[in-house]
Parts: sequence; C-alpha cells; structure tokens
Amino acid sequence: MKLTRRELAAAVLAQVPAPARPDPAAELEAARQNLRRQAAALDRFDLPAETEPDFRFQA
Amino acid sequence: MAEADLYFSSIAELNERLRRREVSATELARAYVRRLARLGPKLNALALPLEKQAVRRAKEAHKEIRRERLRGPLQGIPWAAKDLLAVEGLPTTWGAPPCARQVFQYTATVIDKLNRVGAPLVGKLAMIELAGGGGYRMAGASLTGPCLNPWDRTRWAGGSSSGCGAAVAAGLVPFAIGSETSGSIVTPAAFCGVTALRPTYGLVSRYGAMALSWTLDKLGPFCRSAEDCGLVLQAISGGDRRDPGSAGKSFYYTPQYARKLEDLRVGYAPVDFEEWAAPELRPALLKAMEVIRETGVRMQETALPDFPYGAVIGTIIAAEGSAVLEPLIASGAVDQLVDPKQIAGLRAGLEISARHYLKAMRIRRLIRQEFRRMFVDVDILVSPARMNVAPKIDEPLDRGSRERPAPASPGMSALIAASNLAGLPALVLPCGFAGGLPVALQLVGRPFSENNLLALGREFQNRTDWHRRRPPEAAGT
Repeated sequence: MKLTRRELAAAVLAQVPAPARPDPAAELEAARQNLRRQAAALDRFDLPAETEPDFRFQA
Repeated sequence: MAEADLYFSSIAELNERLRRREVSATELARAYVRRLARLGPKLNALALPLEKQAVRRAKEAHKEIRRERLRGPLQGIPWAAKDLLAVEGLPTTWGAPPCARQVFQYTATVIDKLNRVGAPLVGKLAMIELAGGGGYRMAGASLTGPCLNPWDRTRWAGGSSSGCGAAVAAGLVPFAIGSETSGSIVTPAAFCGVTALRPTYGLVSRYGAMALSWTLDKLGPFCRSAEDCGLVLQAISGGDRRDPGSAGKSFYYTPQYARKLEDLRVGYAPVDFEEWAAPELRPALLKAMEVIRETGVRMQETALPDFPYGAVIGTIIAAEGSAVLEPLIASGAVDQLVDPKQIAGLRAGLEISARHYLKAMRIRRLIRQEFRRMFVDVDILVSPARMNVAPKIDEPLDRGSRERPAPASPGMSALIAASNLAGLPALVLPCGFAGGLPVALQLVGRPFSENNLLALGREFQNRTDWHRRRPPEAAGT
C-alpha cells in the first residue's frame, strides 16, 4: 500500500495520544475558586467609608 | 555596513542613512518585509505580513524624503503592530481562533498617526489570545502557537505582546507597538531583552485597539533603545476624542531639557534584588544597580505600601474583560479559544459581584493616593522587570515558580500590578543575562514623567551595551 506523505503524517499523528484536556467543569470551578479567593482578600481590606471608586479613571 | 547591522540599527541610525540616501525607504521596507516573512514564522511571531501596503507607503516616504518634505525621525522607518490594532479592511484576529476572520472598517489611531509621519507598517504581530484577559496557562495560547524567544527557541517570548518582543529582539522590525493591561509590555520586553515603554494611562489613544480593561489598557512601543522609545512615543501620543480614557495630553521627547540626573531620587527595595529575584538573575541585577548608582542619581530604600494588589487588579481585569467579551462568551464562541483556563476565566468573570468590583475600584483610589505620597520623596522606582528568566514553552505558566523560602518583606515585588493600577509609566531596560537569557530592570515614575524615565534609561544605555546585544541565531541572518 502506498501512502502519501500527508497520509503518513496523519497516520503517525493518529497514534500519538492527544494531551489530556482538563475537564471544563473542573476548570470553571477552579476559576470560580480563584475569584472567591480574590473576593475574600478584598473583603479583608478595611476601607474608610468615604472612599469613592474611581468612576472616571485618570492617571 | 553589513546587512545584519542594518536590521539591528536604531531609529536614529536608520533615519541618518535615509537622509544620506545610502538606502531608500522602499529598499528598507522591502528588506524588513522579506526578513519578517522569512524569520517571523520560525518564531511564531508573525500574524499577518503587509508587503503591498508597506511598499506603497515606503514609496511615498521615499518621494517625500527626496523632495526634502520631511516628517520627522520615523519617516521611512518600518514597524509592526500587535494584532489587536485594527487596520481598515484587513484581518485583526486578537490572536484568538474565534476571531480569526474578524475585519474592522476603521483604523486604530496609533496606526493613523504613524501613517501620517510616513512610517510603513510591514506586518501584524502575534499575541496571546484576547491579550490573556481570562488568565492563561500555556505559552501556546495563541492563534499562531507559542511565540518563541529569539535567545533560546525552547523558551517563551512572554505575553501578551509576544510577537512585539520577539520581532524587535530578532531584528525583524526596528520597532513595534504593543499593549499592556498588566504586564503585557513589561514581560515580553524583559524576556526578549528589548527596551520598551509603557506610557501613562491615557497618553496614547486606544481607539481601534481591542479593549480588555477600559480602565487599565495602554499602548506602547518596543524599541532598540530608550532614545527610540522617546521618538516613537512622541509620534503616537496625543488626545483623542474617540478614546474616552484619553488624557488629552501630548508627549514631546526633550532630552535636551531633561532633569539633571543628580536631581533625581531613585527608590528601590533591596529585598527585590536579594531575595525576590531568582538567584541566577541577581548578579546581573546587582551590577545594573551599580550602574544606576554611578549615573549620579540619589538612591534611597523604599517599599510599596501594603495593599492586596493582586486581588484588586485580578478583580478589575476579570470583571471588565468578561463584560467587554460578553458577546463572545454568550455565543459559545469562547469555547474555540486554545487555553481552557482562559475559557473558564472569562466565563467566571461574568459572575463577579458589583460589590467586589466597586471595592476593588475603591481600594484602587487609595493605591493612587499612596503613590502620590511616595512620589513626594522619590522620582523614580526601580526594580527587576521580572523575577525569573523566560520559562520553557511547555512549562505551565501558572505553576508558581517559587521553590525558595518566602522573602522577609514584599519590597516592590508587586510593582507591575501596583503601577498599572495607578496608571504609571514604566521603562524596561535590558541589563544583562542569566544562562544566556535576558534580564531587565523596570523604571516606574509619576504620571506623565516619561522624560525622566527616558533620561535615566538613556544614561544607563550610554554606560552599557545590553540593549545592543543580538540573539546568536538572528545576528548573522
């Protein structure tokens, strides 16, 4: 059987196991956990009540 | 002059050769177009070659130079743009598979400005998909694959302005325009050993650039020297009513009126150099600090005030980035991104509460106030640009590289996040090597003090030649 170079490459690639892709649900949970950690760090920071956010940001 | 020397010439040197008619703008553009097309793909640094447009514009520049109709130091100087800057009618992919066919019907202000001074755009450069706003784990999180570091192709060029760092380091363009939300100019410049300037927030219009964070995004140049950064910044700065964040200010590069270095007070934290930086970087960094001291500036120890910088900037980027990219997320097209971490990060960002976004923005106000206080005592802050050299391309980028004991104090280890939150300018200066990979310093100043940073950067580069070093493989090709 003759194989073109392209077919040969495809056959070789088919034998290489694809790298395990993380479970999307687990990834999403990890991202949420990261945001929760950040939120907790913000919560721990005491802020004077009169501090207004930078609604119009200027350097 | 050898051909390789041409590719590593500064803007001033190229300009001089154009004026003397040793080379024409057309020849220069063709030479860079060929080099970018030949070597750019080998580094995964090229997103889109623009040969026809570049040669057309170079011919116009050539005619004008011949008629002595001079438009400044960038006339006839080829350059390239990070592929998040729109050019009317051409693909602008934002480095992301779901945006691969995206075409805008307008042109970014910075590109218009560089067109007006006669600088031919020779190509668009690779970037981390969507500028990495959702977070990313892989150097290969890009439509063009992992951008390789010209100093060692098993290493990453840094992100998200990956192609800008790699292309300037390899002599594929004299300068490039990239963007930074938090670290995207500083990191690739440091990893690739090129000089780069992140301007004050609002100094350079972002009209026509992909938005990731309205309150943090900046555009800035990657160059061969501090001097070149000044020349490019002068051309691209200025008010723009189409950018709501525009400060309405221009920048004039005026080295002749720079403050005396003896009058500049430079703050640094010894712990950054002695403990935070990886051990292999310390010899280069400490020598570089000696050179800074020898310039005559007044050195004094300092440290950043205590704030949760990471949480503040992480919350702002996630909230604003996910809001900007909501259509991509809602349509499901986000799932076409390469990096699963980014997909998840963008989805999760939509869930940030108003309370936490506003808390982050309130803390940010205090951070800016504290910086104002700090800049009463110092004019410039200096720290390592990155604490490690460029990682391997197959190394997970979020794998915490710290296997050493935690340093005694934070010093200015959070300077990238902190200075971006305060909208401050930063200049990255290559300052040596560790294991054959570039090491760099960052200088940070008060808002709109770019001339101070450039004055110190220029003097540092008068005393060193790190910015003139060439990656071995690119040097003779």
